[in-house]
Amino acid sequence: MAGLLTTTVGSFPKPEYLQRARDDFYRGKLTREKLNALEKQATREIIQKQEELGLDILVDGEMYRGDMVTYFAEHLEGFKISGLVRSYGNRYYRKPIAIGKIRRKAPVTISWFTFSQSLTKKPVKGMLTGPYTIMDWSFNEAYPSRRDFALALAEVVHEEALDLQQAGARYIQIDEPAISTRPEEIDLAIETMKIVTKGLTAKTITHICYGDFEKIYPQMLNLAVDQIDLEMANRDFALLDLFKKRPFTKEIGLGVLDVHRHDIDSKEKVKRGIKKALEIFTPEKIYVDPDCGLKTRTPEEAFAKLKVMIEARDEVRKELNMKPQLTERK
Amino acid sequence: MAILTTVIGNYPKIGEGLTTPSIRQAIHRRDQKEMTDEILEKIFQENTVRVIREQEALGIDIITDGQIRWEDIVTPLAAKIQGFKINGLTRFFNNNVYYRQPVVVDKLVWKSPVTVETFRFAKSQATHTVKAVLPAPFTFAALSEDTFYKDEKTLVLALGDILNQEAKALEAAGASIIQFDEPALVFQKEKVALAIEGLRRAMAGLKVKKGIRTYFGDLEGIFDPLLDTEMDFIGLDFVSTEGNRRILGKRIISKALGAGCIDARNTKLEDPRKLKALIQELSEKTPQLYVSPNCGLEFLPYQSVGPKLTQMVQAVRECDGRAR
Repeated sequence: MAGLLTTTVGSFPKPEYLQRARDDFYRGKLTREKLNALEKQATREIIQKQEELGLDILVDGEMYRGDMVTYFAEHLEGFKISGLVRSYGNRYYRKPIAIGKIRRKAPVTISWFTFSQSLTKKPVKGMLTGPYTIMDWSFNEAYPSRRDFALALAEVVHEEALDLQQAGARYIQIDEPAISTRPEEIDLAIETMKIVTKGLTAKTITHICYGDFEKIYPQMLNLAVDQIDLEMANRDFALLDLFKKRPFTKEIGLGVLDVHRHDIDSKEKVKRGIKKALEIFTPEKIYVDPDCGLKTRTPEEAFAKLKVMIEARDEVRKELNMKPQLTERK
Repeated sequence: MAILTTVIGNYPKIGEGLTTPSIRQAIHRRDQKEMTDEILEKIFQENTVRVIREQEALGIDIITDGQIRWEDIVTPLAAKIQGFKINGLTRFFNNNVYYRQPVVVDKLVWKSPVTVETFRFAKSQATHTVKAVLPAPFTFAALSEDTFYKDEKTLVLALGDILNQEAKALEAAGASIIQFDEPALVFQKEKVALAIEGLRRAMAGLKVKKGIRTYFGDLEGIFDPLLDTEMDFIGLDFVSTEGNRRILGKRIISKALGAGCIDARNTKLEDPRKLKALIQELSEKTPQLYVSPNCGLEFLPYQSVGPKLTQMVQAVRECDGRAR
C-alpha cells in the first residue's frame, strides 16, 4: 500500500546570510548578481536539507521571493509596487498596484524550478500564487471590477503553469490563501482556478489558509485542482469532522504542524492527525505537510518540526503495516 | 447646514520622506531594548502632532489623533482592561491585515482611563475639533475570543458598561464627539438588537455628540432599528457595497449621517463627477452630513492619503459652495 507522502507548503526560512544580503541589496550595497548567487546557494542548501529530512516531494524553498504576491507582481507588466502598508503589529510590506493591463513579459518562476529540479532526483513542486489571491492582496487602479482583475490574472498564471509543466513539473501548486476571506466570492475563485489549470496534466494542488472553511465548504470542492491543502493542526484537526459529514472528494494536503508556534509539535499529535485523516481518506489520497509555509520560523524550528512530522508518518505506516513507499523518482 | 469633512480613525503611522522619526524603527529599537519607552512615547507624540497638522492642512474639519499608538481598534483597550489577555494573530474582517486577538479569561474590569491622556494631548495640539474613537461593544466582542462569560450577550453588555466608563472619562476630558466603530455589524446583521443593546449601555448618560461608524459593508435590512436609537449620528460605507445607497433611497433621516465616500482600501482616486454626485445626493437626506473615507486610512500607503483627502475635501467644497 502506497501513500502518506510528505511535502511542505512552499516557503522555508531564509538563512541569516541571505536575509542580510537582501537588506544590503535593497540599500544598494550589494549587486543583483551577488544576491542571486547567494539565493542559489540557499536553494542548494534547502534542497539538500529536504533530502536529508526524507521529504518525498520537495519545494525550491522560495529563497528568492519576499512576499508571495509582491514577488509575482514585480515580475509582471502592469503592476507597480506601493509604499509601505502595515500588515500587523510593527510589520509592513509593499503592496502591488495594478496600473495597466497585466501581462507576462517572460516566464517568472521557470528558471528557479529548472535549477532546483536539477539538484535532486525527487520531484520538485512548481509553486504559484493564484489569481484570486493576487487580486485580493493588490490595489487595483486598472480594472473596472475585482472580477475583471482576477480574470486577467488567471490567464497570466495559466501561462506560467503551462510553462512549469513544460519544464517538467509533475506537481503544480497554486496557492489561494485569500479564498476563505470573502465567502461571497467563492464562485470567482472557482472560475479563475478553472482557467489556471485548464489543460494541465500535472497534479494540481491549491493551498488555502486563514480559514473559515465552514463557510466555503463544500463549494470549495469545485476548485479545479486534484488536491486541496489545508491547515489542520492549528485547530486540532477539527476540520476533519466536517468532512465526515460531507465527503471531501479530492486528495487532501493534511497540515499537521502548527507553523505559527515556536515550540515543536508533539509526535503524538501529528500521528493522531494522520490517523484521524485515515478514517476518512485512503492513504494515497493523503499528503502530509505543515499547516502553512515555514518562512516565519527559524531554520532550527522548521527542521525540528519536519523531523517530527516524518517520524510520525513513518510510525503510522509501521503501525498500519504499510510498506514504505518506493521512493518517488522523477 | 454646512457639510463637514472627517476621517474614520487611523492614519498611516510611517511614510517615505517624512522628517519625523520613524515609528516603525522606534518600536523595533524599543523591542530590541535599544530605546526606552519614554523616548518612544516622545516619538509617538511627535507623530501625533504630524498627523494632526496634516489633517488640518488637508482641510479635514473633524480630525482624530490618527491612532498612531494603536495596532487595531480593540487591543489598545483590551491590554488595559482587567480580564483580557492578548492572543495570536487573526484576520481583521475581510482584509489582508491581521491583529492580535483579545481573549476574555476573567471578569472584565475597567481600572482607569485608557485613551484619555492621548486624547488630551491631541486636543491640546489641534485647532480643529478632535473626535474620540472607541470600538463599539458588539464589535469589540466579535473581535475577541470569550473563554470566561461563554455567553455573547453577557460579554457585549459587560463591554458596553466598560466602554461607557471610558466614554465618560473622555467626555470629562473635553471630547465633544465620541464615535463607536461598529464594523462587525455589517457581517452579522442578525445581531443588530444585541449590538444596539450594547450601544445603549456604552452611550448611557453621555451629553456629547455620539454615534457609530460602520464599514466594509452595508446595513441593508437593519437600518431602521438603528435610526430608532438615541445616538446622534450613524456612519455608513458607500464604497464597499451598493447596499447603503439603496437603503437611503428616497428617504430623509433626522439623524446626522457619516458618509464614507472615498475608498480607503484602494489607491485609485474616485471619479470626481460621481463623487460629487454622491455627496450632493446624500447632503439632501440629512440635517448634517459628515463626509469621510469609508474606513481607516492605514490600509493605504502614506503617499496616497494626501491626494485622496484632497480630492474628498475639494468635492465637498464644490457641493457646499463654501469658501474656506
